Amino acid sequence: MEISRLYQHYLTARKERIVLSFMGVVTQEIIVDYGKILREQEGLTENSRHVLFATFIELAQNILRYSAERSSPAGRDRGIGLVIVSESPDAFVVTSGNMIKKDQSAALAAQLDGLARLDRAALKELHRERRRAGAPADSQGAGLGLIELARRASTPLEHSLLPQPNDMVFFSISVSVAKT
Amino acid sequence: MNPPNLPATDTTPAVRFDASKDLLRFEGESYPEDVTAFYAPLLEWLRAHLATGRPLKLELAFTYLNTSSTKALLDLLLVLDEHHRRGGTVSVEWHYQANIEVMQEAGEEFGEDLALPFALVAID
Repeated sequence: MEISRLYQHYLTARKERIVLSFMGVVTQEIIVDYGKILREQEGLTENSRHVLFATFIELAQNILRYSAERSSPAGRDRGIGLVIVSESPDAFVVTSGNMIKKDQSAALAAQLDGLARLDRAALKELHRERRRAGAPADSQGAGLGLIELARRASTPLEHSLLPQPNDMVFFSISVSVAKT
Repeated sequence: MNPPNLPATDTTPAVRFDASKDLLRFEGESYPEDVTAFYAPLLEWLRAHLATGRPLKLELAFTYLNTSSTKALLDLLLVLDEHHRRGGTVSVEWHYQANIEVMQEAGEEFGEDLALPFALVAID
């Protein structure tokens, strides 16, 4: 990359107070190491630091497991995507972006729209129902991941979908974690 | 089947069985890449242990569980709960760091889903 473009990238990252950013094959090793960086963040309560770490792990593992764009060297099948953590005066924001299949996008968007309408008590109740119901075939965690993210976030989850020409949709989700 | 004696890793808890106390203890983090590969053998051992008629005390000292581990752990606890309903002697303690409310709440929610003796223990 040309240095002027690289420097612009650097300045943008500085301006948006990016704590970490990653784009590529999401491996478990990367998740562990980046998670450690988040656990060393200062200026937030122990509980908030835990929620920040948990939010990062869920979003990064979602890419690893469910991204439609994959890398499988030597049989190690893993998803490709990006994760960015930025800081504002009173919160951290964890954003993920990855490709999903077009035919999965409507259901995912509907699920997220549904979660956005629920308050904390309703999310807790939904979590209870879902963990007792058992896992859907396409999920390792009984679909609990997004509910848990919504419960712990300081503002409703934000998501967007950007259709691509090849039956893919670029899917992004942003989760705010209050510092206190 | 050998009882569990697993050291902690970055993404999986230490799991140790102390036969002299009938105590199975989990300690550490749980967010493995493959949750089933980690929890399925433990569940298999647990079923075999319960079939012997021995009591079991389970101590859960997790510092973090991702949501797929939460689900796997609940499946394991439901096996214990079924054993309890049939008259078996089992109990669970949930140990959590006192200043991490979400881990306290996670313990409370496991307790709500179970009929067996379940105690929350705050660690300073």
